[in-house]
Amino acid sequence: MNAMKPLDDKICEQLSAWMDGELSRDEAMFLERRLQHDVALQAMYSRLQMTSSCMKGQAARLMPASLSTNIKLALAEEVSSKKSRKPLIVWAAAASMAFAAIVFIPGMMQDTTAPAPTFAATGEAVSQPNDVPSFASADLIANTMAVSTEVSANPSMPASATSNPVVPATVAAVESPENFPLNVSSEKKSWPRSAVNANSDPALEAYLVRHNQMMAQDGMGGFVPYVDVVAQDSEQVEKDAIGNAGDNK
Amino acid sequence: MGENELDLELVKRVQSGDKTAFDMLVLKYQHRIGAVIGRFVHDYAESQDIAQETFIRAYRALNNFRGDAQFYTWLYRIAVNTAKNHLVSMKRRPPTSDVDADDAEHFDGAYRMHDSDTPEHELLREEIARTVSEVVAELPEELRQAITLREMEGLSYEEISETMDCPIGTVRSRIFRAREAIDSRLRPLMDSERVRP
Repeated sequence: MNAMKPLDDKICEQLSAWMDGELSRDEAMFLERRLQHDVALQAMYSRLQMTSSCMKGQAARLMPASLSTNIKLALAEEVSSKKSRKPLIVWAAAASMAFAAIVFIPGMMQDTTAPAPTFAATGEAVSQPNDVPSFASADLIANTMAVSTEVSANPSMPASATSNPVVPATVAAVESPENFPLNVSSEKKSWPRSAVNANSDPALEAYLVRHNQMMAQDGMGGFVPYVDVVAQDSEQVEKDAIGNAGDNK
Repeated sequence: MGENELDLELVKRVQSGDKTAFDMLVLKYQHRIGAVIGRFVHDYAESQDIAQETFIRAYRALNNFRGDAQFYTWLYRIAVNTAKNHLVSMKRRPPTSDVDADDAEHFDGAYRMHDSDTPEHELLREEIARTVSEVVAELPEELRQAITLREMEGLSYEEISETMDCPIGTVRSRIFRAREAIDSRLRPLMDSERVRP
C-alpha cells in the first residue's frame, strides 16, 4: 500500500465524478485501479462520502480509517484459509478414490486377470453353489471365476474337495466360439435361459454365451457381467412390437 | 451511470471475483452503516466490531444479491440483523421498534436514533454537519448551486448543465471544487477524530 502523498487535482476531480457515476469507462478503470492502492485517495473518498451524507441529510457516524483495513484483512484471511483448505479437500478426494480403487478394482479385474479357467471338456453341466444371481451371464462369469480361482489357487486340490465335483479340463486355444467348451450351471434352467425372450434361437444363444466366456478367458471381460445374454428371434420381435403398439392404444 | 448503477457494477465485479471492488463499497458505506449500528449499540468500539461483522457477512452473502433492491437497503438489513444478534448474544434486549432504511436516511430520525450515542460523538456529528453548512453557505454562487443541485436535488451532471446553462465539464469541475472546499475544512476535524483510538 502506498504511503500518504499529496493528490493532484485531476485525480481528485475524477474521484468526485466517479462518486456520482459520471466518469467515462476508461477514466473509471484507471481511477479504480489507483483507488485500490492509494491510501490518500481512499481517505479522501471516505471523507467525501461523509460530506455527501451530511449534505443529503443522511445519518452518518464517522468510522475510523482502520475499519476498512480490518475488513480487508479479515476477508483476505478468509479467502486464504479457504484456499488452504482446498488442497486438503482435493487430497482427501484423491485418497478416497485410491481407497475405492484398492478395495473394488481387484474384484473387477478378476474378469480380466484371472488365470485360464477350466471347463468341462465335454460341455456337460458343471455344478456350482446355488447362491449365485439368477442373471444368465452373471451366473456364468461368477461361476467361471469361482471355479478358476479355486483351481488355480490350489491345483492339487482333488475334485472331491468341493461339494460339486468339477471336471478339470485345460482349455486349448480355440479359434471360434462354436468350438469353445461351454461352462453351464447345472442348477439353472437350460438354454434359452433369458426371461426376456424365451423363444430365442438356442444355437445362437449358446454361441453368444460361448463368445462371452471366450472373451473373458482372453482377458477382455466379454459382455458386461450383469447383462443377460439374449438372442432375439426377428419374427418374435415383430410380434412383440405389434402387441406393444396395441397395448398403448 | 447513476449512483445505484455504480453500486450494482461494483457488486457484479465482486460476484465475479474482484475483491477490491468490495473495498470501494466498504469505503462508501461505512459511515452510514456506522450510524445504523449506532442506533443499537452505544459503545463506539463495539459498533466498529459490528460494522466489520456486517461487511464480512455482506461479502459472504453477496452472491445471493440479485439487485432487486438497492445495495444500501440490502446492506442496511444485514447491519440491523447483525446488531440485533449481537445484542441478543450479549443478553441485551434489542429495540422492539424498527426503522426502514429509507426512514433512517433522514436527520430527524437519525438524531432521534442517536440519542443513545456518546456525547463526544454526538458533538462531533453536530460539528461536522455545522461545518458543512457553513462552508456551503460561503461558496461562490456557481459552486454552491452545482453542489446543491447534485447532492440535495440528486440531478445528473447533464441535468445540472441544462439548468445552469454550462458544459458538463464545467459542472464536473464546479462540483469537485465545492467538495474540495468542504473537504479542506472537514479534513482536520475528521482526521483528528479518526486517529483517536
